[in-house]
Amino acid sequence: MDGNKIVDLALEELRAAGADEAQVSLSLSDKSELNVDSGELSLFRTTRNAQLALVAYSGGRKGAVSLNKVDPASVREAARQALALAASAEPDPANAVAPPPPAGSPRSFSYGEAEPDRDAMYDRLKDFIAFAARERPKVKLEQCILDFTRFGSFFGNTKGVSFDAATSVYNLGSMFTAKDGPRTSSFNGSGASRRRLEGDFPEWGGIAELMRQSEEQLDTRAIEGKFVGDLVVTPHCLGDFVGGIDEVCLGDFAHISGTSPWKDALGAAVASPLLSLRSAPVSGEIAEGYFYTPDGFLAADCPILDKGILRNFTLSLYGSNKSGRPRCPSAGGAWTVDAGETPLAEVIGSVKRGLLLCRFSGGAPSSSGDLAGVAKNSYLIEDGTIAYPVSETMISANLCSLLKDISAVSRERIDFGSAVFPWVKMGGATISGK
Amino acid sequence: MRSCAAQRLRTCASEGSSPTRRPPRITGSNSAATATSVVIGDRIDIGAAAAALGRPVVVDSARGVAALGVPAPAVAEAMASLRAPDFSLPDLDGNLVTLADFAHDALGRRCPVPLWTDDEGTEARDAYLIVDGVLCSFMHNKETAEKLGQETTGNARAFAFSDEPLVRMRNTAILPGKSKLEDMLAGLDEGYYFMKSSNGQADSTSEFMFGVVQGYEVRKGKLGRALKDTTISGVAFDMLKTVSALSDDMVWSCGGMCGKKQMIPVGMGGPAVRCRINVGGR
Repeated sequence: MDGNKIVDLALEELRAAGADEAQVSLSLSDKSELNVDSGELSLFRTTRNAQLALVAYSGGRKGAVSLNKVDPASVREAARQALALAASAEPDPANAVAPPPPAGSPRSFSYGEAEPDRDAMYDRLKDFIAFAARERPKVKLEQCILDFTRFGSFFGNTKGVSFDAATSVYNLGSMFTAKDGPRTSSFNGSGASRRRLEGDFPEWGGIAELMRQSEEQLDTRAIEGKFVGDLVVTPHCLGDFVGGIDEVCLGDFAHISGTSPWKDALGAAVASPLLSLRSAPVSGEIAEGYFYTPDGFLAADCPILDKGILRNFTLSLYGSNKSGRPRCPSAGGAWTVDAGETPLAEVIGSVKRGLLLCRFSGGAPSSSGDLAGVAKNSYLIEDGTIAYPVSETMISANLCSLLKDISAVSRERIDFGSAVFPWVKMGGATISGK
Repeated sequence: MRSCAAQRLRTCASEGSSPTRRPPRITGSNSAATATSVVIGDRIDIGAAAAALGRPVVVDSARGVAALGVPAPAVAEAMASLRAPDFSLPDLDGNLVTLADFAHDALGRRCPVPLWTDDEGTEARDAYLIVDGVLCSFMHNKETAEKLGQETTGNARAFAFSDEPLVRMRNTAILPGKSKLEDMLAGLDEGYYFMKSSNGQADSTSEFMFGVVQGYEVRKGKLGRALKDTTISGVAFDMLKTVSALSDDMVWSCGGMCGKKQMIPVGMGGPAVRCRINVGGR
């Protein structure tokens, strides 16, 4: 199956159906997957999929169709439907397709292995199950998934943009709880992706440490009362906060709706100078990186927050046209937060009273950045020492205020393959127990 | 009709299985079929009474309470019709919280996510989870039903064509009570009226949270100020024991997704519930 030919065919059909401009993307995936349920290998399977997305523009109106068939008749029918949908849409001058990249720019990309090492996948997963049983007997592996997924990605538009990428990664995800008689810990879990099966699975995404904590979290205590204190947000939890900032302050919706608290802050300090957040899709630092954006631009690494200064939003071409603010050189994601200079032990040691926040179970933050939720798998810190694991403890804070009140970033980081994060100490959170 | 004892019984599910407690003893109605003396002096032989009534009895000797179950013919009829009987979880004061996972129809209405056959080809039936306050079964696929020696329920569901079916909810609801919403609010001296939720999560400890995007303070029975976004949380088994009223109406929604490995739409419903819960926010 030649992906470039399918994309070219779809563009021809869209033009023939009456599109002024059009873009087509195709993703062909081939996955080999091993599953563990309740501590036992339960499934091996391979799945193949094709996802074809057609977007047509006609008179400034947009119509889009997605399908998983790529035969010529299906593609022709999808093109006809896309134009029919466009005909019933409202015209929007912000609709546009990407211009061609500079002459000589690369258009074909690749990383990862061509084929999975299935024997190694099986052996490594068996070793991981044995590790959990031997080292953490109270931990129950509820579910564990190891897969190797190979993608063939193709993109084209009517302005002459054409990209293709052949990529593959191994993904490991593990969810577990500790059980001891009637006592049960909260769900816990982590994982990572890698381009090769290197390193011990218990260290992928810091799984081994979370398993240790889960056994410890069989005995939790509720905090008495309510206080304003610090949060030491772990790498496992920081992704939720970064995602919240992206949604509330950086992305298309926040700017098109005009709700972003940072809409007029480009170039201004919006966070502590200790915080540098980057989108790094092509750096090689991110195993699951990407080379071009969904709307057809070559992707580039870019700072979002550079020592607390807002350098970029994460706007797409449409979001940029709609809001009048600059398009992001990347498509967002592929996050890295720069390591700090403080050892983790000193970060925790500097907390008078607060939480080591390991998982946040909360509602989506409001458009102002207010958030509230439950601290899961987390610990009370008192006088610089981890006191005990907590239960029924709620946190209320404002995301933007938390970023301004960062007082330490750890030297250590965890590489999840999709992001690389340190531990970050933030102040001013309201922490309430029973 | 329920016995007073049944209304007082806390369920196995809500209590967990504390090592200091003996599990409830379940007696089938046939086991005491030959008993003839129900009253012994000034005491009642519960087993004999249950046998005389043709109903199973659950005795929790550690707490000194007992519950009479649904008569066997009624259970058989419900099983044959593939429709759930009354699932009743009594709270501390005898108020009934009724829980079910329906296959396709409930209370004479089509459910939001109706299923007649699950993705393993099993006929979908209402899941018998808690009957008369007693945890009876679970949602099952073929494998878990076989392992636990129970009937399949048709809860194996897959989302995409490439997904494997997983055991998961279909249309799960708390069923209505008998109170009027206006009376429930009027009876609140100080509290909150939460009207619309956003995302939520549940945990293996039964601790849960939901974002609340629409709601009001209630002061002396009257609606007060509107709430800014907040979050509520609690431990489900504890929260259920604090229920003091259920409204006599019910709303279904299919806006929820089960996120167990694959995302899949689910139906969920219930009445207004008056209970005690943790409220977040500054």
